[in-house]
Amino acid sequence: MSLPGEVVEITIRSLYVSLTASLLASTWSIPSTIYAVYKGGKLSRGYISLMNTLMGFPTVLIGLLLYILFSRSGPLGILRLLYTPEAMIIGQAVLVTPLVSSMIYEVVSKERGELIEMAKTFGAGGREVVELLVEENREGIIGSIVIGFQRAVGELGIALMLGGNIAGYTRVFTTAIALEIHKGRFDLAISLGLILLLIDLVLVAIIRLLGWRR
Amino acid sequence: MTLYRWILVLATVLLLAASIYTWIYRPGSEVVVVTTTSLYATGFLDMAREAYESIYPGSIVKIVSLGSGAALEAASRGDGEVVFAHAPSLEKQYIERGVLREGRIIMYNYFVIVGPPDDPANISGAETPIEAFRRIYQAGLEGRAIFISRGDNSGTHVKELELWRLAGIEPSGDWYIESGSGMGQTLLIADEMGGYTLSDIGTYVIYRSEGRIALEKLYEGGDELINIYSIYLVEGAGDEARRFYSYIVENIDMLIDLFNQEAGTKIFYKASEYDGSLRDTWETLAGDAD
Repeated sequence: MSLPGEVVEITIRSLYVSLTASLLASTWSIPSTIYAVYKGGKLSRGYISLMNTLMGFPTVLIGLLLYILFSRSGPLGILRLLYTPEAMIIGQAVLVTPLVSSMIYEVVSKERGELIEMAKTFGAGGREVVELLVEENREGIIGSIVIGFQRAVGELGIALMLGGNIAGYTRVFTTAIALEIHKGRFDLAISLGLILLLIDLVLVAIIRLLGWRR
Repeated sequence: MTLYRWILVLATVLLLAASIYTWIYRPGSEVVVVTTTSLYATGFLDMAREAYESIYPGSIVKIVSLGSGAALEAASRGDGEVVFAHAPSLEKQYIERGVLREGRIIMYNYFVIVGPPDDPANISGAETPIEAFRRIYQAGLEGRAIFISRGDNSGTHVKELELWRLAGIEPSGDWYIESGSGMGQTLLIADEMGGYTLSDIGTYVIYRSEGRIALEKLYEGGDELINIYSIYLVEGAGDEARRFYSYIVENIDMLIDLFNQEAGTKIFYKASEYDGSLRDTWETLAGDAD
């Protein structure tokens, strides 16, 4: 691993996988969190405690459980998902769901009064309610997705167990760094780490700017 | 369009694009190879993969580097079609379970016992590796030495446990530390802590030449420390897997020459270079664990 072409390839793959994973996680995190906030009381408290607890779930354990699920001899083996980018996307989406949900909860729970008003007009859990609430809290919602992305792009356990770090196919930043450390090429590992950090910073800056524009 | 719709659309499009890409650009044929880490980290398997893919364009070799124990387990679950391993006693268990259809010894080298340059347990004066291990144990009890074990069911770990068993020692206590990590990480830990460890020669040479560690090679050689690499074709493997397996078996000597030449030092030995029967030695090592 030394060619610039390979670094570019890993960069694109890392961004693609983790961006898709965090967007995927938010497609279900947004409505379920809004519903929990709307219901309030025990359900809301239970929901947020569960999400806060799951946030600490070890990534390698998520990786292992999904590995058993996706393995050829596992229940979903027929889909042949193991050692594919899609498996990494699913794994990372599962990983960031509690984090993204908790962040969205922070944003939405402040708007509970307005949420109930809206629900009266459109009916609880209606798509209009979700869309309007997301629209009014653009910045907070985008921020939540960005934090989910950052968590996903920086994790190693799931990428390694579900992707397998296959060159030119499932190799992302973190797995490439782990491999270079294993090979004793620390300088290359550090360079890769710095590129990851830089891309992360630039991307976050761009997205935050876009969020504030509107 | 509202933000939530954007999110829905974007997530769907990206996910679909990934699936379509995977589907369109799926290779004509592919093989999933699961392997011990040492063959991958040294660069040997990448070299073999490139040689193979240049002869059979359109074929894709996907290499997943796991460690011998994990690689054999993955094969038994159907997640790998070709296995590279260097843990005869483990390999034998999977052969007996009918997981591996056929196999071949491809090459060998030697494990080395490495440790701090001042060698507090004086293992460089030992006659056999068993005696070296006994000296480490003795010095360990007296608080003069520590040993770092891989502790990860890898080929090297299996070998290390076998040496303790032959020495009649139950390795535990303050002097015995399990790193639970790969060879590179374990060498770094041993270097930091001034401990001894068992290493495959390939990883040690790389770490040493890169200047990462100051550990010295204190004991080497002897049949007890032989490290035999084998390739296996897994039961139920596809045609591409068979072709890759045959390619490796037929061209292994050429690949070893090429690799040693690039490395500038002899890291792997051809099976034909062994004085005696490598198969017999393998059987002895495999049988020992029962």
